[in-house]
Amino acid sequence: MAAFAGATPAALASAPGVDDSRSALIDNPNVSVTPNPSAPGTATTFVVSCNALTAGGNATAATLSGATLGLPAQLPMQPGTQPNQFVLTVNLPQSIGPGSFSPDINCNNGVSQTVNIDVNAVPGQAPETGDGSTLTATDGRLTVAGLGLLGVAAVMGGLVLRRRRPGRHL
Amino acid sequence: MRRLLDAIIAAAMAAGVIVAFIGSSTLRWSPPPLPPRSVALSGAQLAAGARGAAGTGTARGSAYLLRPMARSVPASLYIPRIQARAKIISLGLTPGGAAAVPPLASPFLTSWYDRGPTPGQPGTAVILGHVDSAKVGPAIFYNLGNLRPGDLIYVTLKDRQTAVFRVYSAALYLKADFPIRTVYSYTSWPTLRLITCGGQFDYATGHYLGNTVVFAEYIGPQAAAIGP
Repeated sequence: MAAFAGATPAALASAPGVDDSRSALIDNPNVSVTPNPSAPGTATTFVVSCNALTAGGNATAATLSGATLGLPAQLPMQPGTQPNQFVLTVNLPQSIGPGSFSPDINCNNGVSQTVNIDVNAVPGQAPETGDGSTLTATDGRLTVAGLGLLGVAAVMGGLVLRRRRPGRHL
Repeated sequence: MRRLLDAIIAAAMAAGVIVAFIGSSTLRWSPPPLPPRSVALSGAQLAAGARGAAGTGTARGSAYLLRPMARSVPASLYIPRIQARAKIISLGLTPGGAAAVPPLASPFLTSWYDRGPTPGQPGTAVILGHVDSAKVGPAIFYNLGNLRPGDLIYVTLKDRQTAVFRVYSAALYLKADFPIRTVYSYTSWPTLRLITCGGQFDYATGHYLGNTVVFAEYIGPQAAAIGP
């Protein structure tokens, strides 16, 4: 099971400075996810507003249903900076597959919000980027030159031996 | 006279053997350069750097007025330090789960990992290239290990904007121990990773045992597009 990071103040403090234009694409204005798209193993922050015209009173607690993300079913969220706002940062499991997920957030004043989050695939292993030719390719020109010298020497040697043989018989 | 001829023949044969031996044991190219340990930051330092960049932007000069770029697929890159100019194609994952790379038959092509952010967007944009290829020897990222903190990388997007990145770290990692999270994890400020192969070569499998990874941060757009 993935580590449950909880909402650390430091992580939250940096969140408003994040200018992730994609977060604005989320259709539900009462929830935000940063980053979105996220990725396996990435610390991901959910912010929900439990405001609703029909709901009775302010919420004092909210929980994220983590099951669809491969997280615990009920994740309590922390109070945010504004009334009715709740925040939670979790590390998405390494095992989560790429795709779109829609976990629910339930506030205890009866408001329920659905979060839309896209999860990108992250490469699971190192890439293969080369065939080692600069470490393995030997200098063919020198080999050819050497073989050429050998050939020349062999021919010369053959000629010399041929010339010598008649001499021995005489 | 015969003695002289014999000596010449013997010398030629000896020279031939020696030259052929040298030729078959001398590398045609020198091995690719590798980043020294001194420029590699630890995983914690890399994470801290990414968080720092996401903050107020102090100690970052004019960067505090800077905004990430709009999403646009990268088309080409230029790295002045190593005189590398390349087109960029979009690729996803291999069946084995690694980021796909261009075919070895196109050793001067690079690939952008299209499941991640585009260069200049928040997160880690990843561009891969070959270090070498039998077809040509040294390939597009052969000299990647020579990049040093401060070096600039220009990535031109399809929308004609050019994102400028500044190198802040370079490291050699064992593939078997590849720091997936350090390299690929989300950074709230736009960052770039250039990846190629490096280190020792496994003759048995025909693969390098390591990867050279260059870490760079977005420092702004450039008005004029730089193409390959």
